[in-house]
Amino acid sequence: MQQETKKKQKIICITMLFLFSLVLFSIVPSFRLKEYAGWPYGSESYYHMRIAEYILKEGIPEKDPNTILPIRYAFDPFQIVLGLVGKAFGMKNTAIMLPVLLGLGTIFFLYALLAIVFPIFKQRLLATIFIAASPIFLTIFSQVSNIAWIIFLIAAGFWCFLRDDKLQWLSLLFFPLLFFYDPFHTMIAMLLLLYVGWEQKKRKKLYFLWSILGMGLLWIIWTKKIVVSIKIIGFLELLQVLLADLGAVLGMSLFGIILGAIGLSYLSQERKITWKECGLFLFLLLLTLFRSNEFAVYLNIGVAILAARGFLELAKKEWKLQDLRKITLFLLLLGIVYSGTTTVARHAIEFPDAETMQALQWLETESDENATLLTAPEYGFVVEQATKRMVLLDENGLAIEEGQRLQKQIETVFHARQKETALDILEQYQVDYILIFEEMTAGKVWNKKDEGLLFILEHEKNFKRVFENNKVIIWRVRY
Amino acid sequence: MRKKHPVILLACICLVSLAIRLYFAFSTPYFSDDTSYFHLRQIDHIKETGLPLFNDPLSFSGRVFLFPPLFHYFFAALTYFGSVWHVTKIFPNLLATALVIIMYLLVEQLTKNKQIAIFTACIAAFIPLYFVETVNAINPRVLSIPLSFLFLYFFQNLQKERGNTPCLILMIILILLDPTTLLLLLGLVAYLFLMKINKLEPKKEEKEFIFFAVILALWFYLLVYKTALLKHGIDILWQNIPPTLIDKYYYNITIISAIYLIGLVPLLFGLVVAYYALSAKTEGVEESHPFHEQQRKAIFPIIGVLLAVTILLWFKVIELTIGLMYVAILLVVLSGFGYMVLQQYLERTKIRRWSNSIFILVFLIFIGSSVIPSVYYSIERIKGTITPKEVVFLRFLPEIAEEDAIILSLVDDGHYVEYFSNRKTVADTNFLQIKDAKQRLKDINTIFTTQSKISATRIMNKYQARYVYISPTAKKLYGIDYLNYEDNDCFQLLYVGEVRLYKSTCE
Repeated sequence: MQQETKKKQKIICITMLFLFSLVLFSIVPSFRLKEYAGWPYGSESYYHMRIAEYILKEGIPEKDPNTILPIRYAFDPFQIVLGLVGKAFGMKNTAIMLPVLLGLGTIFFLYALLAIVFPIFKQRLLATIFIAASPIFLTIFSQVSNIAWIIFLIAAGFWCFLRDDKLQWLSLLFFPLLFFYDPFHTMIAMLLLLYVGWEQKKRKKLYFLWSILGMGLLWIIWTKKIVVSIKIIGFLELLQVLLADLGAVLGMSLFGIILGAIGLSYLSQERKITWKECGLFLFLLLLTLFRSNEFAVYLNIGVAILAARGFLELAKKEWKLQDLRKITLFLLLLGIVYSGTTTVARHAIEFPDAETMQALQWLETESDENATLLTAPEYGFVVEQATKRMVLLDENGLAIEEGQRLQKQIETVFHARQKETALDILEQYQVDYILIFEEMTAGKVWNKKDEGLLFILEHEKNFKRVFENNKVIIWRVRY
Repeated sequence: MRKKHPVILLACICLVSLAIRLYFAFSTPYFSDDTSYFHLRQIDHIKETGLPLFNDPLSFSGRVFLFPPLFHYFFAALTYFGSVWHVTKIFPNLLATALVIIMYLLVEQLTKNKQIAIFTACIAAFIPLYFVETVNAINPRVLSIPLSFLFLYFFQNLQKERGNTPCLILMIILILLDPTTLLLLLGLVAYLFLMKINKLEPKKEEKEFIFFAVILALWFYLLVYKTALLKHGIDILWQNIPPTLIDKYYYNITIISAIYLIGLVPLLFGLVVAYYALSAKTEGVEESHPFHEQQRKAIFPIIGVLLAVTILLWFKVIELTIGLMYVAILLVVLSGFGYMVLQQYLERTKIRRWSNSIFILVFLIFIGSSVIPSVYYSIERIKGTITPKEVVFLRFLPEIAEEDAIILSLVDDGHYVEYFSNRKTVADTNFLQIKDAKQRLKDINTIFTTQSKISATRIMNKYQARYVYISPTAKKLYGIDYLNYEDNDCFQLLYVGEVRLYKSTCE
């Protein structure tokens, strides 16, 4: 009877956990649905949406179809998933819905996997809550990004790998999909497989998967050029990269890190932490700092596990100053909630807003299908997706040499004092429209309303203001 | 020493120190730094509306301030007992003098020797930097520094019943008062590390309290400075002050001037004590030894804070003045302990009969290296105070400049313009939350140094500024008496005297 009640309580708790995660991951999408006409935030979302639509319509492209630059297209299976779901539910709805679903799936798999670290139910529950409420998870599962997809793949792969029924074969589907992304994701998956598989005595499966992933990894290294940028980073810069509270895009909660450090100190006191775990942690930290901050996602899971451990130890421990104990625990929880809320609040009002999108959609209906647009590169992805037109330069273009050369020319246009200087370059690339966003005139490109190109646009007959609202001004170029 | 003697002596030291302080404070009707006027505006606003001026329409032509307002409320409340001028001149000095009593209590607790405590209190009354920075200024530090050391006094008693509540109350006040409390907390964390590496066990209550205080402070400051943290990231440590200004603060100080600002006696004694306390052995030391385990445990919180502040100063992570002030006061505490060690040592040597002469010698060095520099630097500081002529002009400025006119002045004059003239400025010394701080500083420099009327006009129009104010400080800093491009075409000279005012007329 008692066992049954306990089981029921467990089910209620797990249901609550998923509802809690659903609510957390839905805050940003719900807000954007209400206030931003359902447009997701972050320019990367728009890049994936545009390519997903293109693939469904035209097939897999050889070069990036959004720009005039010869950028080789790197195949991303996530865009096919996005396209297929988008076909069924509409791309805008999918862009809002899919990250939430991926987040819930990841939480489900992680909760199940945490049984390895936390055999006690309460501990596992708390660790999963810490992971779900962490700023990184709230960031990646509220926008269309392939890192959300990668984490989902790895979590699902592990979950399948540890099963003994037919579902175990699905791990052969999930893990190899990682080959299409940064090889370090595969490397991390392999290290984790080695660690988990060895401990869980799944060695046959481990050897099999390792050989497949190993061969795949060799193939990637052989075919792709891997660049690891090593830079010396100061302690303060390190904080800036790792802490969401200091504005890091993919950062962790300060209070989570403090609790994690406490958890780590308890584990080391009990000699429960091994050199393998320390090595793995260090590897992830180095990757985060030197390769890309997207690897902080893995670090975040480790920190959340340690934080849960630290929190439980603090709660369990007898304090001499008992009154302070309760306040401290309350403050720590508040701190974790604080980091999550600031992250959500930040993303909820990020670019682009409904008014901007309205202007871009106007351009889609009013402009020629082959029109070329000029704007600052950071707005490129959003403009490409919303207008379905080619943009002279976007963020992808900045990564190649031609793009950097083109950026210099664009800078010349933006700061030109004479009409001819600007027109020569615009004509060279047959630019049809120039899009001036509000932030561009507020310091991003120009500091004054009549600086450089802004002055020329206002006073020369070659340019006609065809659309204007509070966020965007669109100019038509005539040669 | 008779029972009442220390109290009388302490009262005398306090009175002498307060008398000198008040003499300097009342020798000018104004304050010696521009930031005092920022705090005065906040106090005035609280008095009028009951709320601090978070949305200031004047500073940087309109901006949002982020700060914990407890200090301003405290002073606004005090102004009910007298005029703002009297309160803001007397109370900061009273509070600063309170440090003398706190130092007496702290050193007496550490050394169990009233004579040494009195000697240390005497040194504390004339720490040159602390004296100069608090003699004619109104700043949260005049309250937070004495309270920080009072906290350290109670921290020693944490295990005892009476120690916990004052510690808790003081910590909450300190956190609400001034973000420099983080220095104290960082120092306490350093204390735990010091204990660990010296294989000493801190009290459990201490560990718990430090953990609680760190979490509380982090949580509170994250909440207060949320937008600034997200905007500036780690640069918030320098309050978004442009690097050129930070470098200027640091390059102006040399080792010799730092010694003068701290005082030779506390520096020597303090450093020797810190060295011996850190290098002494933990085991096999007799109880009579000055650096036995209990004694080291008692002075480690002081050394912890000293170490943390010194490291932060070394890496230029904190403001030089506040860092040096902490270092100076902490060294004074340690010097009291050092003098006790010296006395004990002399007792065991043949020169013990000269101990009084040695005391007199030390006292003379103290007068030469602390009292005289305190007075000298105070005179210099008072000399640098805004002059009555400047104030008369600034008070007259509203008659010339329209109500919404923006004045371009030296950043150090920004708060003066805002307080006395009630006019908008292009910049002042509070850069937190300002997006284009570096650019503004650069543009202001250009206005005062350029030969080009076109560049100057462009800058004036960029900030929609109509007037250029040249104070004596600006004249001295740039070595100019007038603007290089002055004419009656684009820059009309409106006022000439100790200060100059130009009107920009070109679009």
